[in-house]
Amino acid sequence: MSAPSPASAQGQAAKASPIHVSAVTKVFKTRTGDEVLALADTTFKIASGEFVSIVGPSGCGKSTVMRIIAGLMEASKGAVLLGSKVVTTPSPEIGIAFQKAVLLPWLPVARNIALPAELEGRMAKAEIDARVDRLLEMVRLKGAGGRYPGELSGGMQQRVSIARALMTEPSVLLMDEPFGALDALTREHMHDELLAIWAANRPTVVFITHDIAEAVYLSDRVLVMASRPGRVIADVPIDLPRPRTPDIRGEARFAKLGAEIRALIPH
Amino acid sequence: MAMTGQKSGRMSQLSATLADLQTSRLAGVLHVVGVRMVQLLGGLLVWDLLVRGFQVDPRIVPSPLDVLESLWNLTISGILFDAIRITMLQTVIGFVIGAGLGIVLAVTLSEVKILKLILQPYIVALQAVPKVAVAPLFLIWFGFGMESKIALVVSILFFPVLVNTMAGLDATTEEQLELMRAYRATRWQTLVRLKAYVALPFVFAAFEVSLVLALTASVVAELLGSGTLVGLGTLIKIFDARMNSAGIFAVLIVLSVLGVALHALVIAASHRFLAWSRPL
Ligand SMILES: Nc1ncnc2c1ncn2[C@@H]1O[C@H](COP(=O)(O)OP(=O)(O)OP(=O)(O)O)[C@@H](O)[C@H]1O
Ligand SMILES: [Mg+2]
Repeated sequence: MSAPSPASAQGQAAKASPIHVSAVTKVFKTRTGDEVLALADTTFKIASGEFVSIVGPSGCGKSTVMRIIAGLMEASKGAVLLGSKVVTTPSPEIGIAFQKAVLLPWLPVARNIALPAELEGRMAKAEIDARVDRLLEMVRLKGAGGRYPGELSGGMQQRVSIARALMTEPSVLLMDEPFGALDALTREHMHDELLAIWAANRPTVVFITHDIAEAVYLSDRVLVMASRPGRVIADVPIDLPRPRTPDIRGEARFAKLGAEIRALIPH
Repeated sequence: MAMTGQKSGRMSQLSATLADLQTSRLAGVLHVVGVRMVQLLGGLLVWDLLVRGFQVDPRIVPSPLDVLESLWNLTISGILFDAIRITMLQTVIGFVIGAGLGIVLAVTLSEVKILKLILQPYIVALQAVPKVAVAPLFLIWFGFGMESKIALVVSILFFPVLVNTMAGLDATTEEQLELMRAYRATRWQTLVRLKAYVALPFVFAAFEVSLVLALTASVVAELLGSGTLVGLGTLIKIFDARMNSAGIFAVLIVLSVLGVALHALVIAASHRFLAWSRPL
């Protein structure tokens, strides 16, 4: 287990499930019959309420490992534990933001965000509406709730999909390059919003990104993956104090951690 | 003082532009109507001149005036509206049943893959049968009343709707299905919240081609055998027996108007229900 993070040291109830990826191997069969070893014997643990980023070159298996954690894809070998249970199907604890926004074009933005709650069918209509309003504000799309996905820019669509992932206040949050399509300023705003949500609810977060500075700013730990075959090659603890504020980006320690991680990523 | 003057000036400018916009829209509509009227009258004039110039036998091609007269007589006698009602009733009932059955079977087959495997060859074989050739059988099975006509309409509509809806239900992307699975949608939720919407443009495409076909089928069924009910097809048969070409032409004009109206209706409905799928 990793060292207790500051918030849990403050005595907050840590009820979010830890994640244990245990010796997971994933082999894909291509159309031509070849086999691709997307993940080879990958093992890592994420503690309850911990914020962990995964970085690594394109095609190293980041999205694949996230799908396996989410219960959307079976491992060829090995297993994932969510809390004490082996993952076989998607769990209601999980909120997920995919690499692509995947919005339903026939639903207005607000209904796209509400989708997970509507499918679950436990939240009252008024509660759903109130929550959607708050999420719209958080992702800076206030007033866009009635618009349709086809009328939004790529970055706006991505923010809708982030809001959707947060809809059910999941205790495990899986995010696959969620801020990839955002401009620098919106991205930094989203960093602070995400950290605020994380500080308030303390979900366990797996955050996939190509942006090293983003990984350092947000995370307790950064896992570095390599490709062919996909595996974790380094585990870098981010010992910057929390709560993190934008000025931290100018500090020497921040730059040093970034450089350290960059040097670890194979290219 | 100067401020308010400026403001009201801008306001009147604004309302003037709005008024301009409205008059220009009205002018646009009037322009289109005017052009269409000229086209219509021009066409009738050419038709009339040709018939007169070549002294065509009115039993072969009647003059436009004879056709209009026939149309007028059919209208005031009430025969035309009864005939329209009967043919349209057959078309609409047949459409509702045929489209309904097609959609229900499509959903069943796409949800129960084993049924699809079993039934696929039969569907392909039945689809290949020219439906009009089956019409005599429908007369034997359902009699000379509306039922046999409705049956032909149903048989014409059913297959395009079935095939298109099945294709539509399978047109979901892997990512959309993954989204529904991630949020633990039930099979029913995935059907009504995802697949139904993905299929909708396909269903409307089927409606667009088959609704006018349904009208044709309704008329053809009457031509092949009719009882006491006088629909538009039966009317054509009656005029045919009397060598009354003007009457036939009058009915054809009515059918063409109905066909265009039905088509416009489907287009309007698809614009209403598929607004989200239109690129902006
Ligand atoms: N459904 C699939 N069928 C076959 N091969 C796949 C499939 N999904 C992923 N792969 C392969 O597995 C490897 C890892 O893919 P994955 O999408 O996990 O990479 P990634 O690290 O998320 O890359 P990126 O940063 O570009 O998103 C790649 O070589 C990819 O080609
Ligand atoms: Mg990926």
